[in-house]
Amino acid sequence: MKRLMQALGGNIYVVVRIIISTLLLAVGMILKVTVSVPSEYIWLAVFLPSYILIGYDVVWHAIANIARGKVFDEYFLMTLATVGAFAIGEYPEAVAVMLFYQVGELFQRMATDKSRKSVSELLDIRPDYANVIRDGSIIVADPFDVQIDECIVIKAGEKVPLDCTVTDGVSALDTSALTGESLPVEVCIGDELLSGSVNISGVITARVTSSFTNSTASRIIELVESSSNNKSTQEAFITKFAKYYTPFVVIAALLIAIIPSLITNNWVEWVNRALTFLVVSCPCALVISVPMSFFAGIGNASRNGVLVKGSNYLQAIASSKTLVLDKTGTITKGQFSVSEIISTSMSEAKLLEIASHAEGYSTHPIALSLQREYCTSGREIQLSKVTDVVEHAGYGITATVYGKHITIGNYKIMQSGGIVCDEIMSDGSVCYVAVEGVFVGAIVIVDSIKENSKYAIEKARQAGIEKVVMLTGDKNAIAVNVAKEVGIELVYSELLPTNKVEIVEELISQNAKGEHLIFVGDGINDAPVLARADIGIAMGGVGSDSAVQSSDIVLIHDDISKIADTIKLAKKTLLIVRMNIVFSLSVKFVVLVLSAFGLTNMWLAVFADVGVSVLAILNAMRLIKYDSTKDYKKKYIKKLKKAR
Amino acid sequence: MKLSFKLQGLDCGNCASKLERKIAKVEGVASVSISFMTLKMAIDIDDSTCKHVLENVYSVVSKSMPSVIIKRC
Repeated sequence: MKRLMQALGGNIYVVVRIIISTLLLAVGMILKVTVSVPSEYIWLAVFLPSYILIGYDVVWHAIANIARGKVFDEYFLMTLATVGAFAIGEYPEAVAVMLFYQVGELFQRMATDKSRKSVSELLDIRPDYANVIRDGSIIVADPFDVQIDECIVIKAGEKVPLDCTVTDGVSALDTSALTGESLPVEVCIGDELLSGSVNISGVITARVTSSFTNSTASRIIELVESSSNNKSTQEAFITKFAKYYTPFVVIAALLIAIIPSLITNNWVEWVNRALTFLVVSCPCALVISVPMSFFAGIGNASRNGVLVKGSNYLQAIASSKTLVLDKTGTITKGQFSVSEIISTSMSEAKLLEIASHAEGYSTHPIALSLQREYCTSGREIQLSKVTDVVEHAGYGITATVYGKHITIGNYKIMQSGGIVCDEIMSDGSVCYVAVEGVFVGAIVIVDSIKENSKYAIEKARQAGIEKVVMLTGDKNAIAVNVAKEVGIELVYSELLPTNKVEIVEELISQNAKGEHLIFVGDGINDAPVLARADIGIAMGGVGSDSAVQSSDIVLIHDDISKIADTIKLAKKTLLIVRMNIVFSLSVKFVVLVLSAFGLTNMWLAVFADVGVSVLAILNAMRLIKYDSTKDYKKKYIKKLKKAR
Repeated sequence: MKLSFKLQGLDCGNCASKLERKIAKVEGVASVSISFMTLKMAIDIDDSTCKHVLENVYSVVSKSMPSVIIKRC
């Protein structure tokens, strides 16, 4: 009962009117069958109160609108139809049609409210307050008033109000509202927190790094809400259609009312048919349900960490055939790590120790990866043992470590120093090490592939992608290897940024009309390519302005498997949109034709108006709960079972 | 200049698109988009005549949809 009341919300008044009016109508109809009266006007007096109760607002709106010069709106049509029924003595039908209309309107309003609410719940990531530390005490403040660099406290169960960096405390965060990732993320001092995620265990103190309006949560909501400004062709079609459809039906109704009546002189019959015609004429089912489907689809995507900047992009990605991916940072982690240690005369650990110390002062990505590898085992680099460091740009480093002269770098530095060694062939970058002019070994460093890249590409193919292409500025040998590993057939390597644009243009020209190309990049170096592709997908979240501006879709986290999910979601969205368009139009068309031939009645007409709207809205709402990973999960489980 | 408004009480999808067409015709409005889902109107207005154009937009809204309350947001 409580839930029912909630669902009814502000509509309780209408519900009471509907109930009372229905009772009055029932009583009237029973009386009409059982009692005979001397005058028809008595029946008018019996049914009129019921009609007034249920229809007064409709009639009032109709009169008010006519006074303003607005004819042929819904209210006018319903008033005309029901008053017409009264005029020809069909009193119960007049009341019933109005009643049916009000019930339909009620359902429609409830369905619209419900879906609005569901979508806004999807987007309910904006925090209401922040606990700020000011003058030594914790104050609850509007996140809007919190300044950058102020410190905030986030307790267990609270939303992170603003983007911030942890200064104290350890906890786990639920980022599912932002990324769709259900596993909690562990955070500790120095980690960045995105607003909108929820702290689920300990208390954290953090320093604010963005203003409220620039915070992740606000940006996501802003992006999704303004997404409806970029309309899909379906939405544009509906808008255009509604523009011509209503006047067309009105003119047709006029013709039906007048021409046959002049011939047959049966005005009541033909005016009645024309009125039925008019009641069907509202294109509401389409006008509401089509944008609603797209909005629900975009809301669903955002819940899964994919921000779609417009319905048009959702529509485009549904028919994408080519997927172009940048290598570094997209397929690979963009972070170098040690893959192999080749030692000729000492232990691997010792070689790593020497190499990481010699590179101890450097901030070059390769040096950093060596330092990281050394530190993973809990050891620390003793910089005090490192002296006489000389960097040879493009070659490597010479330094003195533990009193010994170390040369480290590429093959060229070995050659130029007259150190004898064989060139090592590898798919990574090779770092040669020599002690006192004698080659002792080499360390191979690679940019490792993300764990789920292969899975993501396989998933994308299942979602309808036919061609997967990798672009990179990297060496061909490395590129081909990475491509093989993740299952990509076409590779373009050793490219400059401008080459990337040319290749994407060529690939686009190979696609047939209506087939689209997706480009995925990190959003920082790839802005021109992102802009040129049919659908540019940027990774790296909404924090980066360039990513958001140059792309059409933003992945909040760098998870490229979301691309396949988005394609599936987009396909589902379009399916529902098409279903709604076909269903609404065909019901309306059939009812229009039937009513022109007098084969229908006002009941069916009202159903074709509001009933169809309600059904279309309910259909659109399926998108809110749609799980785009579901099918794939099923298939994957089947595959696993078969393999066993 | 891009502005955004909340349209409270906009209760029918067809009315929303009718209103959108009417506002698009107001002189000085470069583009307008009404979302029935978020009940928001995004409008792009030529800078120089902004105030005057806005007044016209307001009057279009109040004339064709008296039950709608328009608010800046």
